[in-house]
Amino acid sequence: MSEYKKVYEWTVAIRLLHWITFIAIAVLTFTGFYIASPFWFVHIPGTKEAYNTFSMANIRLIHFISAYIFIFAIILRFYLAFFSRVDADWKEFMFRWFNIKEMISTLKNYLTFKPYGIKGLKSKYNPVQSLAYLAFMLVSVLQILTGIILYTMNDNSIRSVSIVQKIFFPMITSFGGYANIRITHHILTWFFIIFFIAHIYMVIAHESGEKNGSSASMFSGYKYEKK
Amino acid sequence: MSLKNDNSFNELSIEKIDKRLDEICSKDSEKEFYKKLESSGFSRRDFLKWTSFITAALMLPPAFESRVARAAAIKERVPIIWLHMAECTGCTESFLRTQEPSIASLIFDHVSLTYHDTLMMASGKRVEEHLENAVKKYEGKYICVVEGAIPTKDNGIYLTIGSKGETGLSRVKRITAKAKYNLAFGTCSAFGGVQAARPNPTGAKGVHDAIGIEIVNVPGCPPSSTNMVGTLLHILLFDKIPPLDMFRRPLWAYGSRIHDYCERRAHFDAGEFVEEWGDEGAKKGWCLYKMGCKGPLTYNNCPRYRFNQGTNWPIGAGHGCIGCSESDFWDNMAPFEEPNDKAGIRIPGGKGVEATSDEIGTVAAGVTAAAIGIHAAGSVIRAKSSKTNEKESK
Repeated sequence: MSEYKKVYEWTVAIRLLHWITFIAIAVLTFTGFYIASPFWFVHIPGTKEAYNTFSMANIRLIHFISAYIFIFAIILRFYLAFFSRVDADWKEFMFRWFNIKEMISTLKNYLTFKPYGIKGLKSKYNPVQSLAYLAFMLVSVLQILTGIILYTMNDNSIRSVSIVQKIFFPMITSFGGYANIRITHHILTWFFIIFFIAHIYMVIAHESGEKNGSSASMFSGYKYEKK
Repeated sequence: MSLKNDNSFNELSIEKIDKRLDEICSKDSEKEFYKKLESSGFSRRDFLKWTSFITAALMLPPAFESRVARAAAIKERVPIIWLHMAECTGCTESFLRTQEPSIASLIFDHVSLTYHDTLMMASGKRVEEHLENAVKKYEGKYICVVEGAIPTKDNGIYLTIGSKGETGLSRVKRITAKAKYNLAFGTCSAFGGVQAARPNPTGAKGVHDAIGIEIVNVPGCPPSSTNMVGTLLHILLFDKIPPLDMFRRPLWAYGSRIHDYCERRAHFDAGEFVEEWGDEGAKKGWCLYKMGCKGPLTYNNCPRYRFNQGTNWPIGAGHGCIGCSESDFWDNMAPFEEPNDKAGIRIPGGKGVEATSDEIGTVAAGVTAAAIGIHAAGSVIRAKSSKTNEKESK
């Protein structure tokens, strides 16, 4: 048995943000599918009074609350990445894939069915990981923008057009109207689902390959390395 | 002519408007108008009821009712040239061919319609001459109304008008250039309409996109007569265009979303949806969201003013909104009787193959899961074989 040492990997801020983002995305995905095409809790004729079901309004409320949480989580993650004293990791978090040497060695490992133990890695995130996180952040921003456009649609009034809609008008026209904004919002949801599936797999693969407690580190903050 | 979006009604003092109306109204034309009203079976009371309705629709204070009434009776002073481009004349039809002519259509007859292909008695060379004379005579004074999209491909050759075979593109360019105000009535002239739907073989575009002039869009397929006459009356009254939204639609008509003023909105919030045509929910007048209603994406005032003299409107009649006052609605809002998340997305390079966003997502997620499965199996096999190799080497 070799000795292990504790390595502090994730700060409290990162861990909190990770789980807040996860919960927000999970809630947003379910409520989002509900809003797109309501499937549960719909009123079946003759079963009850209308005031007993307020499902669409309630689920929309939950969706919007989680959306605000998600927006601030993403803003905070960007803030941490660029301005934090200890977590300023934007170079590694989003742009490590510029490092071609590491990229090749990582891909070599992944494509030869060994998704762990990559040699010569100097950063917290490997290049493939950082590419995925860059995509995640970009898609999150796009998802937030399309969401805000849809959310503020009813702010346009006979008196004037809402400021948010005015700001995003170039985006609305470049997408070709509100219907396309909505379809984009819907299809980007699938990115999060796919990201989730791949993320879980990579965590399990790394954990079982390196045996360093990396999946537990997102709770405790500590990873274990051989001495 | 400034078409800037200013929402300041404050500067439009009532005295100014009265002065303007004194200049352009005459007692004779008013008398003549009321005679015409009576002969068509409308009392003065009917007319005043209609004026207060249109004043409210235009979001003007009640003090404007009498002024709107005067503006409606204006004759001759504001010539209108109505151009028909690539269109179905539906806008004109819906406007004029009601079972009993409404006050709106009467007023429209009364405002001097100098040129209107459908309504003119004359034809052929005389019409062409008439148009030229009108443009010359009223240069810089007339209102140009365009109905229909402008085919722009191959220099607009897909639409030619008149004995000289003038293309619609050059005609619209020529006549809108000398107009005081340009109005685009109907979705075709505003955004291109059905002619501009994919694959758009004639390169049809809305007037603004085709020739780049500033224009007031009054979209709809067709737009309600309230919106058309209201926009005209606003210009007659104030001598300036109404405040516009970003798609150049008058805010008083297109400022609010159908969904927000819909009579079935409460059923949406309560989760009461029509699941199929003619079911129990449909009989109870529940929300048509799951039947493909595009009200949440559409700005118009149909829920408040309705069609055909306020008789009814599509959602009231039990069919969802198809979003006809939004740009490119033939492409964007289709399929009309399916929810928006069932809309087909063209796969790039797929030769017109369409898939819904959920289908694309499911396939992508499935591919990911399969790749993970293969990768996991590969990793397990590799780990086992490398272990046995180690053992053997030991």
